[in-house]
Amino acid sequence: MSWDEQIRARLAELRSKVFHLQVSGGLWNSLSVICALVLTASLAELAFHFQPAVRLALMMALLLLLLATAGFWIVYPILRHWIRPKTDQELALAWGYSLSRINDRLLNALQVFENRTQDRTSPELSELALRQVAEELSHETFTGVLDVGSVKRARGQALFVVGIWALSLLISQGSALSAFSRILQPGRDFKPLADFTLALAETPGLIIRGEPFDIIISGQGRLPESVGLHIEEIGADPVDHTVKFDPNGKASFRLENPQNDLRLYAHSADVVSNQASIRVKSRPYLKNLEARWFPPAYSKLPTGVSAEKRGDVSALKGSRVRITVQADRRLKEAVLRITLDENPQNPTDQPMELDGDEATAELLLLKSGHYNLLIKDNDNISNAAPVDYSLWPIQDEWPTINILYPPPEAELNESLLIPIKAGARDDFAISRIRLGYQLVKGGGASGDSSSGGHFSWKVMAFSDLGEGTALVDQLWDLNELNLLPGDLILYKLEAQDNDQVSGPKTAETPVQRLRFPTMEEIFARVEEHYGNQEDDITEALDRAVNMKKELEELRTELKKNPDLTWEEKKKVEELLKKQEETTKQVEDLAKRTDELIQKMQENQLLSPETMEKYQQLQKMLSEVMTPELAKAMKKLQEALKQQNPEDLRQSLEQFALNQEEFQQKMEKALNILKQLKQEMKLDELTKRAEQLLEKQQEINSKLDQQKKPGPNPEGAQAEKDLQKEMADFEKEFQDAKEMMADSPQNPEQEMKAAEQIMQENQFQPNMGQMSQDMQQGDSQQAQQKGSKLESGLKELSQTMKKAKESMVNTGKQQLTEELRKISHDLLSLSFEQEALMDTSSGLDQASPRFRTLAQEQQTLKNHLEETAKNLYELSQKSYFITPQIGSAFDQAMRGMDQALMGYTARSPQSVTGQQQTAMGGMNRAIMEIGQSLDQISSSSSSTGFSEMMEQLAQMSKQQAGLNQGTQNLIPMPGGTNPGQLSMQQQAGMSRMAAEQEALRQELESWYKANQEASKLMGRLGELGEEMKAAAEDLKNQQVDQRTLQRQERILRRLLDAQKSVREQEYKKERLSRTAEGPYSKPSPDPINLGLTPDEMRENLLKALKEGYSRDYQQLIRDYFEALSREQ
Amino acid sequence: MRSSWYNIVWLVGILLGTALSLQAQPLAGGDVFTIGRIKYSGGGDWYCDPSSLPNMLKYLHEQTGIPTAEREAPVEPRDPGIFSFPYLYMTGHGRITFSDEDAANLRRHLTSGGFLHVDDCYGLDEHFRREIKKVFPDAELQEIPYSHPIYHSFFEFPNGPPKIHEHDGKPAQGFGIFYQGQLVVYYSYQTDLGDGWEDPEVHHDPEEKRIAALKMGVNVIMYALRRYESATTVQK
Repeated sequence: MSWDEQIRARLAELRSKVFHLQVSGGLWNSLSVICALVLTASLAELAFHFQPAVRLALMMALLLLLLATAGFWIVYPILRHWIRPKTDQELALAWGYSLSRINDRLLNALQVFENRTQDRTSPELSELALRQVAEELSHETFTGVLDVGSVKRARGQALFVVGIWALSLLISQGSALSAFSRILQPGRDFKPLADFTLALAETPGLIIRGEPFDIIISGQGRLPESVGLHIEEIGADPVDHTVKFDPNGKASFRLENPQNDLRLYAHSADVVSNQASIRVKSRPYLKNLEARWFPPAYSKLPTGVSAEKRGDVSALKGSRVRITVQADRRLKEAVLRITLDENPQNPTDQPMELDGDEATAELLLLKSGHYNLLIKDNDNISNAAPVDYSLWPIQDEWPTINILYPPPEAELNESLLIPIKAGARDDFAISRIRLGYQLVKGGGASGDSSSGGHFSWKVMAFSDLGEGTALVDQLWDLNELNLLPGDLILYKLEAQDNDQVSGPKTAETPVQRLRFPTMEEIFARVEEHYGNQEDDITEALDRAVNMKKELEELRTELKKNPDLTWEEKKKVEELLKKQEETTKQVEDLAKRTDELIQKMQENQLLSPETMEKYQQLQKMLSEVMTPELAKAMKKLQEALKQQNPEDLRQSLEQFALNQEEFQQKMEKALNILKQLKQEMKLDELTKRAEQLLEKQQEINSKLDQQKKPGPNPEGAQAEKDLQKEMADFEKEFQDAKEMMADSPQNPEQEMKAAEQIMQENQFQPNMGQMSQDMQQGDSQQAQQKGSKLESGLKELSQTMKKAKESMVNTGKQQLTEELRKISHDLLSLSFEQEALMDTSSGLDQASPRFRTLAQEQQTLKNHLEETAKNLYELSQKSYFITPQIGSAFDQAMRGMDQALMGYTARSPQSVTGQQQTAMGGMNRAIMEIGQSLDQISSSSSSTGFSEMMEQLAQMSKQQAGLNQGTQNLIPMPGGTNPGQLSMQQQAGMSRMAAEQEALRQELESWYKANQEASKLMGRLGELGEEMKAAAEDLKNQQVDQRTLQRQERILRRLLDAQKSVREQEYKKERLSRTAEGPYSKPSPDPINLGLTPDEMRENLLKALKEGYSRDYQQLIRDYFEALSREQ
Repeated sequence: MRSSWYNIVWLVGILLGTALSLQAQPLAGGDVFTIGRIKYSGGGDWYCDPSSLPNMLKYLHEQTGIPTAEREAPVEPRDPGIFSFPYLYMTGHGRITFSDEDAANLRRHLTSGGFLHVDDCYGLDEHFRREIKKVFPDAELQEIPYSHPIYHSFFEFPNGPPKIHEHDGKPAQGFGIFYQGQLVVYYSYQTDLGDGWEDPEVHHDPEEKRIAALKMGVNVIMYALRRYESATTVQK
């Protein structure tokens, strides 16, 4: 760029700046003038409130002034700039003069340069001149040449005027502006301003429907006393209210129940306030509410839902509660406010999840309290008075558990197995049941033990019966505890529920007691029971005797006067009642006897023979109320009601007969009980002797194994205890001896032998001595004594057994002899009767022999009565005198009676016929007696019953051992390496599998051998399958609770089987029926008889050589030939 | 035709034999035939079906004319008196035990002409099979073919033993032990002949069942008598 161009560019820049400065200054000045004019005009209008014409003139003048101002200050400079802008020379001169060292040099240089051609100035010189000036100006600004100060001043003036204008507007509160507005509207007629103004205080754009709203009116100036408030509500007629001002110039009005959108203003005369429009909107509300709760999974409860539009929640603690609401509109915000009872001052807000008009929140129900639902719509209007809904967590109840069996105080028997039955209950489910037990050796010092000690625990299997009920039905095997008679077990059950929210809760039963009684205790109890039995039967007998007496009196009375008086009828009723009571009493006794039998059997206290008798006694007692007696009683009752003398008489007779039978039964029971007492005593002594021997053997065995020489206080004490037991035995022995002294079955010889053994062996002193020897450490001496004692006790034990056998055999022998004698007597009578019959058969009706023969018949009858009496006496001692024998006697007796009547009637035919009947009766009695004799001979222990029971008991014991072994092998949860078995355990399991299988085979054999008993025991056969499955589990080493439960079932059934067999032994009924179906089967193959044709031929020849006749030889030949053909 | 011939041979033989034997050796019970009921040990009810044997004896007499006693006679297996009974009958429901003495005595009798009929009254099977081994250790119980004379000795039983009572739904079977080709033990299994012999009111069996049982009883007894007669005559 040349110097000239540089200079001219700068001058153009200067020109532009000068122009802008002029225009901006013009604008400021114009603004100042315009504002001043408007302000002046407004103030004038405000002050004078001009007429429209004046306002028009004013407006025109104002307009002209505004135009002039704008033309002068703005338009002119612009036009000038566009039409004739400042030349470079003018600008160069002005700029040069603004710089003292330049002055006009710039102008000159420009002129020289421009005129260089005309002036013929050297171009170099002109350019040099220009260059010099340009170089000097290159660093210069336009500050000096631009009049910036005048612009600033104009701006200051303008701002000042605008400030004044704004201030006036402010001061006049809009009046100035209103005045200006009036100037601008010259054609409009504005009324003159009132003395006051009215204004509505700022109103909200939105108010709540139905809720009161205060409208405030403020006034200024000389206010009237009241103003009108105009309210227009959509859908309603406009209403004007008069509102009074307060001294502060405020007037308020409460709109009580706005319903629709409003428009309102205040007014007074011509003064009208500003208008306000207000929207009216109702509060949001909940259209629907649902509380749905999801109980904890462990409870298995179904999902719950609150009632419609009811949000109260009452659910299991730990439930998850989902609350869903639906509002009447779209929501902007929803909050679940939860207030817990334990902290009512500090509710917690939980935002709800929004979806349009719906909101949802969830909470975990753990504590009680209530909740509210706070909602806001898009206008931030909240719901009114949120309702309180309750939150009520239902507590998972504590479980309960009750032991159903055994009772709180129970006793163990020799098997040391006891069924535990218990019921546990929870509102949801039982998760575990444990058995806690504690062994108190010797039953505790005082015999009473607290449960303060340490309990061992054992998890019990149980059946879940649903609805939170669990049933324990398990057999507890206490064999592993090595109990001794006298030991006590304290035990309890603990049930645990499945609460997974608050943690499992447990309940315990009270501590119960199981005693392992000593034999002495059991015997003492048996004796006590025996005493009670005797008393009860005696009492029943006494009552029966009295009743009989009263019945006799009644019958006599009835004979005199067939119509009974009221008192007599009462007496009959009383008699019936007494009979009923007595029968009931005896039946109760039978029940108690049954319990006693069971206990004795469990402890194997009695011999099978005695047990059988006891059971027969029990059976007889339980069957005292025969159908005949019941029928007779019923008939008598009916006869009393109907008041028919004949019926009454017959019924009374019938009842008397049955009552007599009852009395006889009681007499028989008493006799048998007395007999039983002796047998039981002998059983007791036998058992005691056995135990003495066993204990002595045990002491001796321990003594032999004693390694260190020296005192043996333990053994000494055991021997001392044994010495005491021996003393008891000897005392019992003496009692038994005295008791049996007068008994016809007294095994006197054996008892004497036993006594002699006791004298010879001097058991007590020797036991004492042995105890001392052991105490002093003299083992050798003690061993010698022990050996001798053992030998003596063995002898004593065997002798006692013999005594028992002797007693039983003597009894049987006596009975057999007496029965045989009766049988013999009957046979003689039968012969005599036959002879008499033969004699009588040919008699003529007029024969004088009738009288003599009748006397003979009477004699026979007397003899028969004598024999019947003997039989009756015998029947009081034995069960072998069957009713069939009695019935046969009855037949014979009736026959003889009728025969006597036949003699009186001189009717030989009738006589012989009846004599035939009598003979038939006697013969039948003989036959029945024969059968009874057969039964007596077979009624020893060889009935197989005891053997069968023994086998079952043995199998039960083996199964109990297996069950225990299995339980020990089941991996316990939380144990080390659960689910993994050590090598030793695996071996143990294999061994047990083999044992289980062996037991199964044994059961099968037993089952086959005792098919009848097996059938009576119902499902015992299924045991084989159960055993097989248990053996498989063990073999496959897949043992779990199911295996254990299976084994428990097996054991239970085996034990039940023993009971069933015992109960059924006395009511055997063969289960068989006539064959009906087709049973044909093809013939088996011919048999190889082991005879070759040669052998047959040899036999034939041998037979033929025996010298038979020809015919017979032919027959023999034919026989062998036939035989040969069969071959 | 063949069976008729058999009947004639048997009947003549039996009658002849019986007549001879009555002369040669009196039957137990004096001059009349009676049954020896085995009174075994072990606990089983050897005495069961009390009216059966008197009825059987009566029927035998009615059908064959053989004089019979009214009642049977109980006899223990060890009893030397057992040799007086050509026909021994044993029944029951349960356990049987033969002592060595019992077994030896029975064997002696059965190998010298005696005959044992064992009637399973249900429940006897296992015990009997075990105990009979004591008597005949080497012999096996074999099922007897229907062609055997025991089913044709007096009455015809072409389909083997009749089925009188049912317990397990099995067909009736007859087993036997043979000694030197001779049937010495007959074991009626699943037939329950004894029940059929009892008084009608005991089991309320139809008359034809009872008669069938009694007829089979006659056959067994006749077979036993024949054997007894044959053996004692041969010995003589």
